[in-house]
Amino acid sequence: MTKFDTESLEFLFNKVLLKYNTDLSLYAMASLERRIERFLSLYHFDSLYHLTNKIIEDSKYFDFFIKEITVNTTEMFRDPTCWKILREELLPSLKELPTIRIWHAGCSSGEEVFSMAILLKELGLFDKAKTIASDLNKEVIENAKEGIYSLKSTSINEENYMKSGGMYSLDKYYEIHNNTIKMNNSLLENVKFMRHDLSTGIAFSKFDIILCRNVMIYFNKTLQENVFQLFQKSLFKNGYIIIGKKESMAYYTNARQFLEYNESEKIYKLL
Amino acid sequence: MSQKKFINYYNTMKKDRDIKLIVIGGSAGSIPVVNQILSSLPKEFKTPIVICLHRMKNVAEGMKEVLETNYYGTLIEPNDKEPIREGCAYIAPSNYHLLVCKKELSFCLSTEDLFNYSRPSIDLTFCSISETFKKNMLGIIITGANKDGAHGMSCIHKKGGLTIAQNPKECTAPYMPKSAIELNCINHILTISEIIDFILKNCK
Repeated sequence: MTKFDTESLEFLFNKVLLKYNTDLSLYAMASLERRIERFLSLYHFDSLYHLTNKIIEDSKYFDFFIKEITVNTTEMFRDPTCWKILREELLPSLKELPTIRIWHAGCSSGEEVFSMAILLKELGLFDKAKTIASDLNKEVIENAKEGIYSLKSTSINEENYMKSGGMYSLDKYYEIHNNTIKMNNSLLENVKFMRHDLSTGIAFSKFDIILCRNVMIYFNKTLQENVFQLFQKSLFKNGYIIIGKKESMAYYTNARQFLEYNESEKIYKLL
Repeated sequence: MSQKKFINYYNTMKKDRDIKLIVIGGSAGSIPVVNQILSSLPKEFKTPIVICLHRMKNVAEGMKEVLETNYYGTLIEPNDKEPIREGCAYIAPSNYHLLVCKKELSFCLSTEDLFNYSRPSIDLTFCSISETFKKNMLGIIITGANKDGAHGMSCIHKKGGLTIAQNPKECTAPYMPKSAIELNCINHILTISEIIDFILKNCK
């Protein structure tokens, strides 16, 4: 692994901030340093200075760098118990609403977007839903739109789906092509994808449910605070925010304005 | 002890060689061994312990319960950004990597790819913690059937921390401690009862 010191890291941060207006210092340092180390080794840079020069000269390479240092691993119905609560309690309680507005903030390769669409279908709420799926990265959004995943991932996805109370078999929703699966495109009928950088704090609409699971673990506390503020602004009264199983709202200054709807699944309701 | 006090305590590290944190790595089969260690610690034992064990994928619950021992301190499966406190043992949550943020002395979770077929990966946890605690930590690798943890032990060793491997002869799955021993990064090869004696003698 190529090691680097704090000084060269700050050099990179300053250059990137000036040139691309992206503030890397807002990310969780332990993870970020590890991802940069991995990047340096994988793409054979012998120092962080060389990498800095390369990404300042070449904006396409900067996009590639950002894609590589952000973590995009996810599963369908990850943490099935959370999806079970959505299926059995939360979504049914919204069935009288004329529309259910949902935001997948940091949708990555789209597994949770498809999970939610399947859930809405099975609950007969699909036509009511208006969904926005956003991510920082253009390329992963394109992947999400295509809905092509490795065949290898299906066993864990299928297992999660069944544990979450799935009514059929997951293969009802995809077709197999060689070593990949392609999700039925009709599942994305009510989904609009957009590029959005959570760190800018820009609110663009209001929602009944915001899912942002295992995204904020990569942010530092300051950025987490700003993003929680953005989510609060973007929720209707009585709207829900769902974060990752091991994330916490406890450090958010306005946490008291939320009710712990489900403590262990980290579902909060705006009062 | 509050987080603030712990930071002060951590800051005294530069002056001495005291062990301010213990990390333990093993696989699912090492649960009884971890229980044995935790149960032997006296009431006044304050050094925080970070435990990273492999487990069945997607068995999200139960590890904390499995480890419900006679440990006097508090056993915690930490959330992201949770500060490290004295008198606590932390168990890496399932399906996340557990790292430590140097500046805040708090945990930082990651969902990045499996490492050595594992998430949590002992290597990632140990290396990350060694960046922060350097010579003031003790790394213990116990029974396990994967080479994960060996590189982590060498990270601790390189930073000047102390390293112990459970005697492979005593292990139900010796591959994990053996791999660490082969990297020449182990200070002591001990049986479990010797490991417990070592902790009681050298940690507060």
